[in-house]
Amino acid sequence: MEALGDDSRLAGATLNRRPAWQRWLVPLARHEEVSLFVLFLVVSGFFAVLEPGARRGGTYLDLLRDASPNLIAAVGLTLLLLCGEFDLSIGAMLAFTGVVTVSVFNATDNMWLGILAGLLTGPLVGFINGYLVTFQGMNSLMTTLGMMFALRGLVYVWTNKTPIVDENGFRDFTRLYQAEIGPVPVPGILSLILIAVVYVVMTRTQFGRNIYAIGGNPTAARVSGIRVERTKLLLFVLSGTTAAIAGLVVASQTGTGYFDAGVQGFELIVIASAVLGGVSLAGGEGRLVSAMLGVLILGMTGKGMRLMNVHITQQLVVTGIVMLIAVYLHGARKRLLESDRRSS
Amino acid sequence: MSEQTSQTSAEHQRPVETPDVPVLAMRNIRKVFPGVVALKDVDFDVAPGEVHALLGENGAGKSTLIKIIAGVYPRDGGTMEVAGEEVDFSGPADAIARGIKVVYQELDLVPHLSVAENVSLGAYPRTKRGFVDFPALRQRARTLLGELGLQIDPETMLGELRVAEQQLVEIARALSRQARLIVMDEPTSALSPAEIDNLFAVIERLNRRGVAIVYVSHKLDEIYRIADRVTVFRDGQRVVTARVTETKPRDLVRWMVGRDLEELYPKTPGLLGMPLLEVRGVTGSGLQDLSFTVCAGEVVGVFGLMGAGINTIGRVLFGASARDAGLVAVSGQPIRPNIPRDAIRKGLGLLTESRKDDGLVLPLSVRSNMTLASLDRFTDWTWIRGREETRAASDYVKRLSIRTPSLRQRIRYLSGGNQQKVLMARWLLRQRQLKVLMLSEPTRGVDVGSKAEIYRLIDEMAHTGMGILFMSTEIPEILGIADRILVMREGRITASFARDDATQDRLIEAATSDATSTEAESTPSLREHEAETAWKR
Repeated sequence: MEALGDDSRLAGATLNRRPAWQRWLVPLARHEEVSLFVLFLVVSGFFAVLEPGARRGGTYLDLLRDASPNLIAAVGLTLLLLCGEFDLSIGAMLAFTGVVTVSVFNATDNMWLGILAGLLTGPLVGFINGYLVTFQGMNSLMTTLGMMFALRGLVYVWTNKTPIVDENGFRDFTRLYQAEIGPVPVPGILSLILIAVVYVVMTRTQFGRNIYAIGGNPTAARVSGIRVERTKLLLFVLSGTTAAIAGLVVASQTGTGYFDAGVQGFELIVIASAVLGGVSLAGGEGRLVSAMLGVLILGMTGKGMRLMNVHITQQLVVTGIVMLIAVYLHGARKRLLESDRRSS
Repeated sequence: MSEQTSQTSAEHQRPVETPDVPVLAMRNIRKVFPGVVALKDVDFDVAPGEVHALLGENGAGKSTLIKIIAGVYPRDGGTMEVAGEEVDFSGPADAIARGIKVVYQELDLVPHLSVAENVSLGAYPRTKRGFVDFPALRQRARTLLGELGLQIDPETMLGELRVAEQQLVEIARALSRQARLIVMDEPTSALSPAEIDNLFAVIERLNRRGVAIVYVSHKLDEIYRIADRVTVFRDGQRVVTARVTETKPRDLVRWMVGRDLEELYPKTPGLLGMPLLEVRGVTGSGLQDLSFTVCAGEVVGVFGLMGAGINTIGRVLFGASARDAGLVAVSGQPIRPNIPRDAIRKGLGLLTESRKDDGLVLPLSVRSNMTLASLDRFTDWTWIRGREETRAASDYVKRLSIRTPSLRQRIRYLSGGNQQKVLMARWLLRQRQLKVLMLSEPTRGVDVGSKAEIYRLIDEMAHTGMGILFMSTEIPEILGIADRILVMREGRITASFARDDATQDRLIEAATSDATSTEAESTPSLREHEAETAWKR
């Protein structure tokens, strides 16, 4: 047992050789959510220094409103990524849902029918995607890419590339985006509720656990009695549905069904946000809350630049750079933890 | 006899044994991972043209030593000489440049390139204009394969070869880089007896050319067949280096485990009950018309060579591979084909042969991996009772003495033996519903100590009235634990022996007789099937 004592002394020595800043970072890095939140604070701090407008508390409530379509769509997409699949059609869904909703408004003069029709586009498209991927064995990247072009094309043909305006001017519909309950904007509340519900499902139910197992190793999951295809299909439907809800929120902003909604890479930004939040593109790894923080970090970047009146084209450059930095930090964090793991 | 004496005697013998300069001489090698001393002042040397076996349980320090030799890890102390020159590798490329090549279990070859291209991978001969010189490339491959006595067409796609042949291509590749030391990490774990003979013939040829081999294996019989000297590791230290002829298997095991393993196979007689698993005329995925029964409390062993289809049985009965015809029933309840969920519900469990491919969910924790198939036990309507789940999992960590820092540890960081025990626990957690457990090669790549525990568990489960179907390519363990042994060849059952009638020779005979004539026709179908499942992944 003399040898054992020798070992532990040695271990202590190696631990102490680690530079001080690394020892500080390890506990921080171990909690993904905390490190992402710190990154969020850094980004907001940066804008708070440069732009007085970013120092008001109201800015962050506005951020919640601005980012709500991304938050909502990211919920469904994150689960899909966790089980190892993609959905690139959610950007086109945004336009499709908006156009369907407002068209039904105008055709029936009934707001609830319109909202219902808009909401139904989600599960419908999601089901088609999911059926093709799971039961026809088609690759999800290609399938949903095809769906993306098909939906966008359909919207163009249908609208003739003109925005569809709500002729009834339903005030209740636009309140979905513009109203507040207390100080909090309604779409923000909607996002938070959705996140909370899905969070509980992910952490406390067998369904949630199965998603991770499927993403981590689909054959092992199948051999353990998990219904892999059915679960995936359900997740495609869910991803379509959250995209449709996001589409409703976007349409309610102006009361218009806009044919080019989400055309500037909405689906890619949502995927990037989730990955920035630590969700693995290979599936099986990642957390919902982290993914949401990823959305907020990119959202804050955009928001800050809009407050500073940075031109939209320049915004794109900065957003890209922030994304690269975040992905780099993510890798650095993993390496740090890996080297630390050996010492524990 | 004390370990010290043999250690020192080996020291003294060295000059006698290695008249030439050793290919590799390592002195006082020390490797520290923060928190663990992986290697403690280890000496290790290899003479030209010798086969030096490296033995030790998982985690004893073998792989760390190999990685230092291969230049993957830097050492923290000690000296290392290659052919008399002191070296300091800063990466695997340095080791290869010095003529040291490691053949890992997972070969680093490219399946979609030809054999010739793989042999010269990373160092293609060029024409004057800088293009790849394909005729020279093929010629080089042909020469090297010829020197190894192999009949492999250099223009075949590597992926079309069997694993054994791919391994030999890897060895040829080492020769193309003028290797003088080849480290083989459990090279026979996926080979049939004939393929092992072939590999050993190649090793002898290499020795005659003066190429030294470091041979890592858990299989003692192979060490006695092929190795000149053996070094045993335990807990990061070298226990002994000795000439193989001067040791007994019993000594090797004791040095490895640190105590006498009283009984590797704790087979205790039990009572047989009602038939639990009935298989009638099952055909599909390369299996032909399989019929047999497993009774309560019975351990039925299935023996066959690689490619005979023994690992397909579990998958087909369970529904993980296609069943085209035939009936499978557990306690009289028929099981629907191709739906593992149905098989599980009716009381079947399957420990698959490949931990990585369809057993472990690597990103998940020990606990999640363990409870993957039994979550409904801990679920009320839809909520998981986390505390109860944790309690059950930690109970099994204790019962199976699984070495893990915590239940939340990711399973990828556990050793192979411990991973295997977690997978066994996955099914043991369903004990109340589980009637028949099928195990495909549960001890592959598992060290001796864990093996003994796995055998003990199997015996224990049989005593609780479970039926066990145990598939293995290793005769000793089949003879050791089975009540009845079925032998398979080319997807068919060719013989059945009661425990007392079975001998090694009889099993081999039943597994091989006139295998040559039909091997060609059955192997492709199995291979196609494997390709199909690989694609689905």
